[in-house]
Amino acid sequence: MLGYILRKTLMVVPILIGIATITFLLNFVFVPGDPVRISMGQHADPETIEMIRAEMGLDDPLIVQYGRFIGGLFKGDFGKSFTTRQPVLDMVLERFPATAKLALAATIISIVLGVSAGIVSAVKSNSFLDYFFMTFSMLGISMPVYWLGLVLIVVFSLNLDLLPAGGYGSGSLRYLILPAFALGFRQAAKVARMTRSSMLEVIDKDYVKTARAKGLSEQIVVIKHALKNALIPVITVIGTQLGYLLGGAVLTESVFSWPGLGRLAVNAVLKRDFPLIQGTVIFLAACFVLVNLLVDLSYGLLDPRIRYD
Amino acid sequence: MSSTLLEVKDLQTYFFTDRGTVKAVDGVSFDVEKGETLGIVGESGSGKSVTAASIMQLVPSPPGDIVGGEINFKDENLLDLKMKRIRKIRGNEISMIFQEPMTSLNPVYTIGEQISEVLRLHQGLNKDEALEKSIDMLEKVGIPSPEERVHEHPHQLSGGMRQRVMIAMALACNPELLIADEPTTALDVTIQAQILELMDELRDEFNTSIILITHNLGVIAEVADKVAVMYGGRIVEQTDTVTLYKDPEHPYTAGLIKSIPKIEGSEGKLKPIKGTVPDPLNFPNGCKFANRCNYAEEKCWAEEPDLEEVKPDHYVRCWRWKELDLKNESEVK
Repeated sequence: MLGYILRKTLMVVPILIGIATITFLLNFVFVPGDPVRISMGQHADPETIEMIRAEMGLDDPLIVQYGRFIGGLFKGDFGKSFTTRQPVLDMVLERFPATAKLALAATIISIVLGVSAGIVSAVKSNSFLDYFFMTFSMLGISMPVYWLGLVLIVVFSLNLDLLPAGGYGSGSLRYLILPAFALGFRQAAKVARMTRSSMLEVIDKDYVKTARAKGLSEQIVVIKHALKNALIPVITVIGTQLGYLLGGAVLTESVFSWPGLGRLAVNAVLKRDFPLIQGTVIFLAACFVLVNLLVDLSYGLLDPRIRYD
Repeated sequence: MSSTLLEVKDLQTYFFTDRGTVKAVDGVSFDVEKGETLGIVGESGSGKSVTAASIMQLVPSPPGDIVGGEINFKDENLLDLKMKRIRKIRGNEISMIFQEPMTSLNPVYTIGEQISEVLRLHQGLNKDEALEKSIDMLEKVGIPSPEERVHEHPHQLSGGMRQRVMIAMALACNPELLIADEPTTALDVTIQAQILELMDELRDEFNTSIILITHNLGVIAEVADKVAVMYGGRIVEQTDTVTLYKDPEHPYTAGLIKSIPKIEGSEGKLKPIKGTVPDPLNFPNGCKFANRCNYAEEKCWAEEPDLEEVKPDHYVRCWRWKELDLKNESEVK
């Protein structure tokens, strides 16, 4: 088990180097536009531009720039932002709490709504409730998150005046509710569908019949004996989503002016702030890999047949 | 054999499907006395497992429904009881073991957790007491080093071991009736014999009545006191085990006995019953066995016979039982 964690953790290093390389190449080779020109505006004089380019190291051959970038990563140096001149890592870490809060809140909502709707749908499959939840979740998957966000703002902020329409509100819970719901609803829809299909697979298993024959109540049969066996695919979906959300929910953050990583990344792209783009992407990748590792480890807790050696 | 523990009267369990109504069990009656083993034999689709599921009220509904009859257990009709009372009986007074030991135990809980669960539910034991009792039970069903096995998961045990665990779980609360639905079908022949022997021993020890459901007459011969032969959702013959083998009155029973492979005798060929069970959605009007019966005549096709008493406690559902001498038939070759 410990060896497995260690090996998996070590595997993260080549994955991150690979991702860093790809983002680096994408930035410098495929993205049109000169970051200096963009930050200086159209009328900057060529000499100043040249000077800044040299200062930023943009004149060096690509391979030198690449070496500097990767070498820096090993020292925990993600470089400095072209636009703000701040260390990228500081900027990312500053935004991360807001993103993490939104991601966790959305995930909790998706687990509570999604898992319960999925269980009910599976247990009462082909009933009215099942059709209701599944239609609803189809809607949830199909509905763009910015549209749902706008509808929530119109209803709860403009019309009912219950909750703020956007902003961070220095961390107040009231500001979290709408964006978390907008984001969580969609995730809940996916979780519900996965829970339903996974539960349907186990609900007719012999051991569920055995549990009933023991005289256990239907709730215990479903939750203790069926759900635990159905949980692995569900956890996988939830984990993948959480990993993804930790890198910032671009659309939701934009609609609700949420000061998270997603907006930071979008602004970085717009300004061709290459170090910041690389920093956010690598950070996202690291979150993703870490959550996946945790998901992997949870399999062993759920199913004793899964061994790590 | 004094008091009746379970009395099934005219049980009817139907399945309502899109293609029509399947009368899986249609008017089945039998008694089980205290400490007695009743065997129910029949082919797949004869309604034997549905009969068992009906007693436990484990028939999946929809599409299944118990539409008529009585199941009197001690002094209660199980069909009149509330679900809450049924759950008190399940696993406690009546328990059940299934055909597939490989899949009947929950893969994510230890053996101990699964046996303890019934004990804690029905006998109110605490965690430690339940675990201790589980170890006792494992020992009783012949599991070596039960103190260690109790903490293992089902996948660490062989099929025969798992069926022993199922039996331990079923008998943990000392039930008065054990329903075993094809308990040995999925096991190796040597393990089969061990499991049957175990069930027999435990019956003597706990004075548990057993309903043993199987398609294997050999299994019945080993442990059952009396036998009900089912065909097409009905009992076609019912008597004590010895009489059934020596003196079968129904051509189907005789056919089943003949189809058991025998080592002695010159001819090596098996003697299967020709044909298959008729479509349950579309049972014929007459005797359901008529299309496979060597002795069927006009009347058999036209009208279904009733269950008649041939001798005390020997019932048969056949128009021609008086004329036919199946006894000789079954012993030739």
